[in-house]
Amino acid sequence: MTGRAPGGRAAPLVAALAAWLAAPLAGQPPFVDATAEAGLDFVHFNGMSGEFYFPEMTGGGGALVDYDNDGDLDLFLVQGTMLGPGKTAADAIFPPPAGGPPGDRLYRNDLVAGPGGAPAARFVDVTERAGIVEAGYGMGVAAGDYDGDGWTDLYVTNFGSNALWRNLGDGRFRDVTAATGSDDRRWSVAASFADYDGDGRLDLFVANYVDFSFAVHKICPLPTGERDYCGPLAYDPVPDRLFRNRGDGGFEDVSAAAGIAAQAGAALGLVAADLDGDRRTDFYVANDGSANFLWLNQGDGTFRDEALLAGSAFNRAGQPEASMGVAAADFDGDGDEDLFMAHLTGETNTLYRNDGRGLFRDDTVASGLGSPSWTMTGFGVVPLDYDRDGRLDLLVANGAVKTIEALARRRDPYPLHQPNQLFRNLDGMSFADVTAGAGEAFSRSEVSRGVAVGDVDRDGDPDAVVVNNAGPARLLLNRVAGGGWLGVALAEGGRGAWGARAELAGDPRQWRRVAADGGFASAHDPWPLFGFAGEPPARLRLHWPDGRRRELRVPPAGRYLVVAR
Amino acid sequence: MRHGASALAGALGLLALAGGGALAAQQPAASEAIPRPNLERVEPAVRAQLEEQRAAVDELLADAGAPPGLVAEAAGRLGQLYLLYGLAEASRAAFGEAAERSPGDGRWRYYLGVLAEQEGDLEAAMASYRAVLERRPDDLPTLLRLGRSAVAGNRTEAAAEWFERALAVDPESAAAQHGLGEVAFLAGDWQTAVDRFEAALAAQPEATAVHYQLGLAYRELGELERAREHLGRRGSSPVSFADPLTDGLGQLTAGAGIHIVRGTRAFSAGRFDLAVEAYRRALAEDPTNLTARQSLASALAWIGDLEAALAEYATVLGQRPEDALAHYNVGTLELKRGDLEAAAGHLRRAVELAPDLADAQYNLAGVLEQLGDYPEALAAASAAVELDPQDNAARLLRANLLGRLGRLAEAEEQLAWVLRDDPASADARMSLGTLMARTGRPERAGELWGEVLGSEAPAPIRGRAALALAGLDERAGRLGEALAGYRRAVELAPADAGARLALAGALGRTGRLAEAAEAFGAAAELAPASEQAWFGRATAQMLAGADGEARATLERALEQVPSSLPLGHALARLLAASRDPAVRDGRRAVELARAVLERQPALDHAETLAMALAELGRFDEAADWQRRVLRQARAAGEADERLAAIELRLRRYELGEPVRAPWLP
Repeated sequence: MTGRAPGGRAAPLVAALAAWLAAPLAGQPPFVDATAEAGLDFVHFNGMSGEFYFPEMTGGGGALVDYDNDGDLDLFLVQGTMLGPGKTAADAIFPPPAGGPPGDRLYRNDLVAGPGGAPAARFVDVTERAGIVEAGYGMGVAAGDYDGDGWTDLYVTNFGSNALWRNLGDGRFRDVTAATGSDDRRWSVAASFADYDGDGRLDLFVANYVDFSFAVHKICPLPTGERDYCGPLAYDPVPDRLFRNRGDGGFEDVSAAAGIAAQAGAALGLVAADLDGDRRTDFYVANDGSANFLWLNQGDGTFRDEALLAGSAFNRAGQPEASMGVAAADFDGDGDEDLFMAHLTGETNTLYRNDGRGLFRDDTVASGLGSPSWTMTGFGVVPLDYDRDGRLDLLVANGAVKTIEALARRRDPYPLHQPNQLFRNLDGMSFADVTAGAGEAFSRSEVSRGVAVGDVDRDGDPDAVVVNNAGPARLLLNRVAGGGWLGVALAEGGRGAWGARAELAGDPRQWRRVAADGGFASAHDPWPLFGFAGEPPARLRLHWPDGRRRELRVPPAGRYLVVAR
Repeated sequence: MRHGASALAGALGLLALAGGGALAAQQPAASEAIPRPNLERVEPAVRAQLEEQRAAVDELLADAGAPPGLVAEAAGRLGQLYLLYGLAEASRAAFGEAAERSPGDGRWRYYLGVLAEQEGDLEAAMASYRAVLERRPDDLPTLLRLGRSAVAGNRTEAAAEWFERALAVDPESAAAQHGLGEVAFLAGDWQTAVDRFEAALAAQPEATAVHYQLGLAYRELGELERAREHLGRRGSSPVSFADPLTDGLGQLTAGAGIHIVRGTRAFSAGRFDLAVEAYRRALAEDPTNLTARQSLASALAWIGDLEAALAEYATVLGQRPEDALAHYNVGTLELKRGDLEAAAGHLRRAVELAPDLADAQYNLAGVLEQLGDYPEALAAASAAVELDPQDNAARLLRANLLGRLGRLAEAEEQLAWVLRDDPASADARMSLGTLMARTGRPERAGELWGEVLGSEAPAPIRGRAALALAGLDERAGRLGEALAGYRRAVELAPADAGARLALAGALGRTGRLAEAAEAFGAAAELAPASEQAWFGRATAQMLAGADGEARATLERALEQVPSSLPLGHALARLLAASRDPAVRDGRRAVELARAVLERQPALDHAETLAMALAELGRFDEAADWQRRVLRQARAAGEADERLAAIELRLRRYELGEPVRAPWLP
C-alpha cells in the first residue's frame, strides 16, 4: 500500500459511516448457522481433565478442500484425543463425542437442491471409506497437491508426529509420512504447501510451537492463586521446518540449509506469499509472545529473517504480541499483500500494511481494527469479501487462553469462550465492527480456533466453517444477496497454480492470490473469488508466479471460470 | 494478611484531599450492585482479604446512616483489591459505587479510567480521565493516560493536546515526549517523530522499546543505517511514568498467586532479579507453593546463583521426589557446577521418570561421556535422537560416542546424516574429519578440516580445525607447517588451552624450550587445573637448565593442584637432583618422594626417593631402595637401557655419590 489517510482525523466520520453501513445488516444477517441442515455433526474433543495441559485448549483447525474433484468443497476436521499420562476418557471433563472413536474426520459435500432449487451443502462423513485413521492429537491441516497428480493431499499437524495423507484419487487416502520423509515430531500447529524454489512442485513449511511435554508441564496461577494455563513463554520455543519437494515423491528437510532452523519461535500462524514483490515465495511466521519472522526468499535456497527492519516483527510500540492466526491479503487494493493477525486479550489485533517492497507499517489504530479486539483473544482470521463489494473483510474467531473472570464467577465449566467478530472493510483503509448485525451465528460464545473459508454452497460468496475447541464445528453460510461475482480457478499443467494472482480491474481494483494457507491451523479454498457491485469490470488479468501475465475478458458474472495456462 | 495499607492510604490521600472533602448526598444501599466473584478456588489468604473487605462494604451499605465518604472509601478499597487480583467486573462496580458516593474524590474515577483502558473501552477511559482533570487539571498521570487512550482511539489531535499539557507540567517527561512522537509517527511526520523519540530516550534511556519506533521512523526517512542501529538496540522496556495510584496497589497484596504472576512477567522480560524478588515474596506468603519455589530456583539459576538455586530445588525434591523436571534442572545445574557424578544421578532419575524428556537424555549423554561411561551415554544420546530425529546436536553426540566405542561405520553414517541435513555444519565436519583420521583416511580428514578452516564458522571452531590440521602435519613429519598451524589455532582461539598445549608441545619437541615454557605457561594461566600445562612448563624449564624457574613453576602448580602426583613427583626429583644447590632441598625431597611412593608405588617414584636419600647423604638407604628398584625392574622385564641406567645410579650410591639432573640427555 502506498499513502494513507492521516491518522485521527477521520475517526468520527468513520464511526458514523460504520454505523450506517452496518445498519442494513440488522434486518438480514449476512451469515446463518447451517450446521445441522448440512449434516455436520463434528464435535471437537480436547481431552482435558483439569490438569491444564497446554495443548488441550490450543487446537484445532479444518480444511475446505475439493478432495474428490467434483467441483464442490469437502471438509476435513482435526480432532483431539485424551491427554496426559494414564488418563482415560473417564477423566475427561467434556466426554468424547458419542458413537464414534475420536479421530480426524473427512466429510464429503454432496450438494443437494435446497429451498427454491438453489444448491445446499450436505456433508457425509466418509472418513472410514477414505481410509483415514488419524488418531494423533490434532492441531491443524494444510492442503495441496504435493505430488502433482491433480488430487489435493492433506498434511495434518499434531501435538506429536504429523501425517501426510496422499490422495489416491479414488476417494481414499494413504499415510505416506514415513515414505516421504515429511514428519515432524515436535508440536506443530500451522503448515503451508508452497513452491519456494520455483520448480513447480509444492514444498512444505511446518510451523512449530513450543517444547511442551507432560514431563515439563507447568501450572501458572491467576493473581488470585487459582490454577490456570501457562502461556508459551513458560516453555522453550522450537524451530520451524522446511521440506523441499524432491520431485520423486519425497521431501528433503532443508531447514538448516535454508536458514529456517536458525531461529526458534512459538509459531502458531503461517503464510506463504511474495511479500517483497520480487516474485519469490516468502514465509511470514506469527509467533506467540515473541518476534514474528519474515523469511525473505533469497532465491538461492536460503531465507533471511527481515522482520525487524520490515516493521513486522513487533507492533507499533515495539512490543512482541501473542500472534495466533495470520492472514496475508491485499486489503487496500494496491497490489501487494498486507498482513493481519489476531492476538491475546489486552493486545489488539494488528494490521500491517505493505508498501509493496516488503516494508510494513502497523496501521491498526487508523484502521479501526484495534479497539474492538482489545477484550478478545483471536485465533482464526480469514479475509473474505462477504458482502461482494470488492473489498476484503475480516472474520475473526475468538476464544481466550486464560480464564475469563466473569465466566468463572458464573461457574462456567470452560470459561474461555468469546463471541466471534466480523469486520467490514469500508474503503480499503478502515474497517467497521459489524458483529452486532451479523446475526445469531456471531452471537454465540464459544472457544473458537480455526476457520476455513470457501464457497461451500457454490452460490458465489464465501462461507466459513468455524472450529470450536471442545465444541461443535459450525458451518456459517453467507446469505448476502445482490452484487455480482466471479470465481477463477487457475491450472498449470493439470496442477493448481499456487502463488499466482488474479487482478480484477474496477473500483476498487481487486487482487486475489491462489493460496490455501493462512488463518489458524486451517486450509481454505485456494481459488480467487471476486465480488462486485453493479456492472462487472471488463478485464481480468492473471499473474503467474514466473512473472508471465495473461489478460482475459470478464465473462458474464456469476460463474466459476477455469483458466489453464 | 495485610501489607502496607497505611502507606498506600498515604499515597492515595493526595487525591482524596484534592477532592475537597465534599461528600455526596447519601445513596441507597447497593450491596448487590457489586458482583460477588467466585472465590471457591482462590487461595485462602486472598479469599480472606477479599471477604473481609467485602463484609466491611456490605455492612456500610446496609447502614443507612453511614457517611457516604466512609462508604466510598470502603468500596474504593474493595475495588482496588478486585483490580489487583484481576477481578475486573467486580472492581468496576466497586469503583462506580465509590465514585457515586464521593464524586469529588478523583481516585475512583481514575481507577475507572484505568479499568476501561485495560478493557479497550477507550471512550469510557477518556471520559473518566477527563472527569479527574476537571478537579486536578495538572495531574500528570491522568494527562498521560488520557493522551495514550486518545492515541489508541485514533484521536491523535486530542492526544497531542494532552501530551503537550503533560509536557508543560513536566518538561522532562519522557512519556509526554514519547506520546508526541507516537502522534507524529501516526501522522507520517517522521522527522518530528524522530525528534520526540530521541527526546524521550534522552530523558529515559532505559526505555529501550523506543529504539524500535525510532528505528522505524528513521527507516521512513530513508536513513537505513540509523534505522538498523536503533532497531538493533531495541529492548522490551517501554516508557514508564510514576503512577502512584496503580503503583501503590502492589502494597495491598495477599497470597502467593499475584507474586507468581509478577515474577513470571519479570522472568519473561528477562528481569531475573525482579523475578527472584517476586517469587521470594510468593514463598513468604505460602512456603509450600511448589510453583513459586521451582520458579525461584529457575530465576536464581539465571542470575548465576547456582548454590541457592540448588537449595531451592532440593526443597522441591524433598516435597516431590518424583518431579522429573526438578531432577533435570538439578542435573543440569550440577553439570554447570562441574559435579558430574551428581549431575548424572539426577539426570538418570529424570529420564527414568520421564523418558521423553529429550533435553535430559541429551544432557545425560554428555555427562556420561565426560565420565567415560560410553555405552550408557550412547543409550541416552540414542534416546534423544529417537525423540527428535532432527536434533542435530544429539545426533552429533551420538556419532562421537559411536566413534569412541569403535563403531566407526555407524558413527560415519550419523555424521553423514547431519551433513545432509545441515551441509554447513562445522561440528559435523570436524567430527567426520576425526573419524576419517582414525580410519586411515587422513587426506579426507584434511579436506574436511580445511573446509571448516576456510568457512565462515566462528573463530573458535576454525581454531579447532587449524589444530587438527596441524596435528596431521606433525604426524606426517611436516614440522614447520605443523608449528604454523598450531600458531594459527592459538590466534583463532586464544582462550583454547588445548591449542596452546599443542603448540607448546610441538615447540618442545623441536627443541625451542624457552618458547615452549612460555606457551605451556599461557596454557596454565587459561587452565590452572591442567597438570599437563604445569608439568610441561616445568619440564621445558628443567631441560633448559632453568631449575630455579622450574621449582617456582612446580611450587605454584602444587598450590593450584595440590593432589597431583606427577607434579609432586617432579618437584621431589627436582629438589633431590637439581644441579643448582640453591634449588636442592633433600629433606623436603624425601618427604615428598615418600608421600608420592605411598600413594602410588612405582619404579620411578622409588628411584626418586633413592635420589632424595642420597642428597641427604644417606647412601646406604639410597642403595637399598635402588637395589629394590633394580630387582623389580628385572622382574617386570624392563628394557636393557632402563636397567643399565638403574644400575649406574646404584653404583653411584654405593660409591657415596648423589645423582644430578638425570632428566638431561
